[in-house]
Amino acid sequence: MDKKSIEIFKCLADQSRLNIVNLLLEKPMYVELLSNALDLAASTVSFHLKKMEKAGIVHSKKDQYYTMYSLDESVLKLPLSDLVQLDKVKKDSLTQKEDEYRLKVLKTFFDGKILKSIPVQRKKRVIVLEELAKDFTIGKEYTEKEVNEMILNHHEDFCTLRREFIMEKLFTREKMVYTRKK
Amino acid sequence: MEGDNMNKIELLTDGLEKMLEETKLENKRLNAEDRFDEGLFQKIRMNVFEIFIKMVNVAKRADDFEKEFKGLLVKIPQNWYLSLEEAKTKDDFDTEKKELVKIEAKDEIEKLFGEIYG
Repeated sequence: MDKKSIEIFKCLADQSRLNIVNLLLEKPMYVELLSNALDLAASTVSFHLKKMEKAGIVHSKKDQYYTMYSLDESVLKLPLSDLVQLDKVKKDSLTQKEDEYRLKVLKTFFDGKILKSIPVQRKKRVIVLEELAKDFTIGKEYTEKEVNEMILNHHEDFCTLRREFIMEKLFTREKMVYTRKK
Repeated sequence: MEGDNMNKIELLTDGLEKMLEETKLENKRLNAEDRFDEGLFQKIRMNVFEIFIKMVNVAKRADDFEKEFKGLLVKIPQNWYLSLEEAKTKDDFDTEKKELVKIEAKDEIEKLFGEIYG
């Protein structure tokens, strides 16, 4: 979600400004007209309009004596999905932060191929499990014995880790056959 | 004469406290109606009334209460006016409105003071 979207949401999360939007949906208006219709001080209406203008919800146009305000319908007609979408820079930066965190967790819990301990915190445990699951081919079926042996290459507590694979939905188990999920 | 002065101070204090109470109620009402910025303006007014309630006590210590309080009504808002002018030049509508709210609350106090002291 970019800064502009947040400004739009913040701006519209106010009953008085929603009232103004509703009046402007009918026709463009100037401050005094809105002030009378809403029974609000002109300076308060002007404050709301300037905030809405900053968020890009309304435009103003100077008439001979008054400043007329009208809605920017292109903003109001934007689908909510467009407004809530993260901009690319933010998305990239979030992914980068996630990658950094992941590497930090792996560095803490692994010594080469050996898993030093099973993380207690779920978020960290999932990262470790995902790393262990990389040994398995997606879609291929494994017997329980094969799964145990492959886990044993990293950690002795294969029972816990095997169970966690299922709980975290990294594998499916049917009739003692384990399949690595996508 | 002394009694008359005390009576006027009491009237001023009562008036200010009434303004504060009404503003508190208005703040609650506006927030309940999801009119948060207007609620915030009431909060700003509350601060102004609280300042001047304290100033009544400050002025009471002076020889001439009326002159002292009148002076405070000029001295305290000086920065509000400066900030208002600065906000206008910078097109900072947010600060402009907040300073206006403070000044309007001060004007109401000044009016009350004028009514009591004539």
